[in-house]
Amino acid sequence: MIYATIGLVILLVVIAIYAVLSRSLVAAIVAVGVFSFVVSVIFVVLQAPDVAMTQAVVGAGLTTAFFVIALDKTNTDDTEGAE
Amino acid sequence: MTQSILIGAIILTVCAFYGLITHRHMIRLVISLNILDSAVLLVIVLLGYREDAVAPIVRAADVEYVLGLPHALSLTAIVISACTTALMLGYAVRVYRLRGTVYLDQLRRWRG
Amino acid sequence: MTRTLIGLTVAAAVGVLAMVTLWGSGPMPSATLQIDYALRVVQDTGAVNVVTAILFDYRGLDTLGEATVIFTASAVLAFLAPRSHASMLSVRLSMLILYGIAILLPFLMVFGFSTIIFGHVSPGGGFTGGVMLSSSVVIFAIAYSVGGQQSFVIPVLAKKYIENGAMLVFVAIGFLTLGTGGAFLANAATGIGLGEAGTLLSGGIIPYLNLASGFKVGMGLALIIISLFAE
Repeated sequence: MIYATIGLVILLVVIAIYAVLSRSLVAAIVAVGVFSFVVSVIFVVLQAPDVAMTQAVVGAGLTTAFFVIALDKTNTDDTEGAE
Repeated sequence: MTQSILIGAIILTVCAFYGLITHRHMIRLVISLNILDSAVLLVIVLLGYREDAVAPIVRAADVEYVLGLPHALSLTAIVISACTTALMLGYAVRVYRLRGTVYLDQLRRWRG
Repeated sequence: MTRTLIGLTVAAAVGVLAMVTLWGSGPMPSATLQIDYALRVVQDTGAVNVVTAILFDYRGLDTLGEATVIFTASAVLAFLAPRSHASMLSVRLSMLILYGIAILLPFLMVFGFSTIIFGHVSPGGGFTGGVMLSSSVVIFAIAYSVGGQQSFVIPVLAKKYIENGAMLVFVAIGFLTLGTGGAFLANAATGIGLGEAGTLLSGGIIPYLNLASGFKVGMGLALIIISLFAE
């Protein structure tokens, strides 16, 4: 159980670093969705089923939909580098 | 196990602050704020965790349960963070409609 | 380049600060607190789920404030996006996704309602179930968004009325408990029967508050996402 939790935390950190540093905005948004899902699995490990259900629905479902809609409306370049 | 999740939350905080300072794209800033939010929620839920305790749904008297108060607080925090995310993205889309850009650098030269 | 350096410095400083704060903050909350909650929650509120009991009985006023936050967010977003010129997403989905969603959607709504109704005897509650309801509305809107506003599950105006009505029901329950001699949103102090713990009709006013906040959250988030669509 301990090793599984440590593996989940390492996965979480890797996904977060990818979401912050990736050059493609679409990839970052998908990474945030996966990130929320891993966080909800950690909530299940921490014996918090209510919080895990809410985090799974809100983070992986609604927030990703918000981001996708905003990306579609702003029509910005996929990659960063306009500076 | 508790220690590893605490260290993970600290690394997530560092990641989120790095993203907040280095990026100038509004949607990327909202992504960083989301990561910061999840890190704080992990710490809050961790406060109520006990070894060998079960989820706070009362079944029998002689079982040890984890503390339910941080769960209630973080439940409201998750729903409110969804609302604030939607609000920030709505403002970003509105700024794009008015100014034609979502980069904060190009918004500095505000005329009038 | 300088920005990267500044970012690295500030992030490292924040990390050190967080580490010092978290390790120097002493012991976790008192170990007797959760035993106290587990012993008292069934007698006090009649609900089995400790989280729902805290949200809708001990801290009911807090929950009302949170519903107000959702109300404010949806109002501001509706103000930002005038609905006169609605434009939908520029994607075209395949037939497989459309029929798959048509099969999936009823199950999703039933699951959301059951999460709301059984919120005090199992994991779940008004917030979780409400978000599930709103996500079913969102899936429908993304899949069949070609026809404009009229093709959503529930019309926008009806969503607004349901949201405001649920909010009013929440406040009305609070004033009813005030009228029976208890405090605002008091549960057992009003003399209402708590029922047998673990059954559906238990917990006094908690199931009704669950239903009201479920409709409130669901319709509020659905209005928010439809305003984002129409931006």
